[in-house]
Amino acid sequence: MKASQQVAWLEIAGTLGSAFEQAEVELVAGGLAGRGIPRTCVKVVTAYLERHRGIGDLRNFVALMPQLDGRTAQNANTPKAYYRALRQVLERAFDQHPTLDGTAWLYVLSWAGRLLRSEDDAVPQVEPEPQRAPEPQPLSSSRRPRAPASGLGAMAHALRGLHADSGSGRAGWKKEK
Amino acid sequence: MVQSSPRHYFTIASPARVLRESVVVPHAVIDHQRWTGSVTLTGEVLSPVHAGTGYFEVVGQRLVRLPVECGGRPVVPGSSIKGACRQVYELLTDSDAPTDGHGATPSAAGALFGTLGQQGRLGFDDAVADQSARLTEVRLSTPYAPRNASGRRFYALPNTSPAPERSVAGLALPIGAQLTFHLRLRNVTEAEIGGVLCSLGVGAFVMRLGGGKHDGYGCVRIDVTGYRLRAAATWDGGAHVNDAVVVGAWRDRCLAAFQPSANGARALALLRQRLLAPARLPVNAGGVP
Repeated sequence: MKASQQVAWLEIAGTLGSAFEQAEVELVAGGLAGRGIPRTCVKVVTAYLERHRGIGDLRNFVALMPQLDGRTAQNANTPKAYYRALRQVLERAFDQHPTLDGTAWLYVLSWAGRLLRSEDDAVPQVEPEPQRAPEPQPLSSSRRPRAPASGLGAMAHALRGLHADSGSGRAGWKKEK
Repeated sequence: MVQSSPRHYFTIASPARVLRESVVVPHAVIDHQRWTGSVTLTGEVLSPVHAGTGYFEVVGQRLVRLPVECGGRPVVPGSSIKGACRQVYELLTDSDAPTDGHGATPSAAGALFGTLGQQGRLGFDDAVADQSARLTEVRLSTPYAPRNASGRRFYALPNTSPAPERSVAGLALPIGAQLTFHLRLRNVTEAEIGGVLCSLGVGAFVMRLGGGKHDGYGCVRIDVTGYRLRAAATWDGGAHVNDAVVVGAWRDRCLAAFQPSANGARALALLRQRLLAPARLPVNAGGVP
C-alpha cells in the first residue's frame, strides 16, 4: 500500500469517524435520542467486510442493517436506532467515494471504528452547542497547517508529513533539541 | 417499543458470608495427594443452543446472527461453560466474591476457578458439536431490560411457547446434537471434581448455555463419559478410562465427596426442582421450545 493512498484513506476514515460521532440517533420508538454511533455497530460492518469484500455485498448488507435496531441485546428500556443512523452515514459515504473497493472500505471503516467512543461514552445531548465564529488568523505560508490534537486526523497529518518528507529522511519525526 | 416480558427466570440469593479457602494450592508441582488430568464430558442438546458471535450474515434478505465456530464446526466456547459452571459453584460453596482485597485468601471458587493474581486449577475446552449436527435457524427475541433483583438469576425450563415479539434470526445447534468437551484439572481433590460436576448439573439438573435463555434456548444435559487422571506417584500411568460402569462409579464417588454448604444445599435442591428436565423438551412449530 502506498503512503499517499494510506493518507487518503485515513483522511476518509477521519471524516467518517466524525460523521459517526455527530450522527443523530433516534429511538426505535421514535424521537431523538442523542448523537454518536458506538464502535460495536461499526464493528458489525467491518466483520462482514472481512468475509465479503464485494462492494455490492457491502451495500446490500448496509441496506439491511436497520432490521437489527432494537432486536439485539439492549441495556435500557429505550433502544436506539443505531443501525439506521449508521446506514445513513455509510450510504452518504458510498456516494461520495464511489471508487473505493471493499479492501479500501475495510481499512477505512476499521480505522474509523477503532477510535470511536464506546456506547457508554456516547454524547447524550441532542441540541448542538452554539458555535462561535472562528477568529480570523493570519496564515503564514512558511508554516504547515496545525496538526489535529489526536485521533485519525493526527495520524493522517503525520503520515502526510512523512510522505512529503520522504526525500529528506524522517524530518517530521526528529526530536527537537 | 414492545418488549418481551420477564419470564422463565428465578433468582437465588447470594450468601451473606463468604467462605475462604484456607489452603492455596500451588501450580508449580504436581501434588501427590491431588489429581491432575482431564475429564471427558458430553452434552446432549435439549433445546437449540445459540452461542453467537454478534456478527451477521445475509441470508435471502434477512440478517442472521452467526454462531461461534472453530475449524468450521459450531462450538460452545469453553469460557461460556466455565462461567456458567462457576456461577453455580459459587452458590454451592458460599463463595460469592472472589477475594476481599489485595492479597486476601481467595474464596473456594476463586481458588479453584482462578481470581485476580491466582491462576485457576481447571479449564474447559470448547464444546464441539458432532459432525452430523446441522445448524438450525431460531428466532431470538429482544432481551428485556435488566431488573435490579438481588441474587443470581437462573432460567427455568420453558413450558410455554410465547412468540417472540421483536426478534432476530440466529443459527443454533439443533435439538439432539451431541457436544463433546474436556475439563482440564490440575491439583484438585475428588471433592472439588465432584463440586464442578455437580455445578455442571451432572446427574442433577439441566445446564443452560448460550444466548436466548429467556426464549427457552440453551438446555444441555451434561454427563461424564471418561477421564484420564493421575497423581504424581503414578505419573506414567493415568490411562484413559471410558468404561461406562467404571466412569459411572467414579462420577458418583466424586459427587458423594462434595459437600455443599447449607445455603448451597438449599440452592441445589431448588435447581434440581426447577431445572430437572424430561428426556425431551416440548418444541412448538416455530422451533421455540
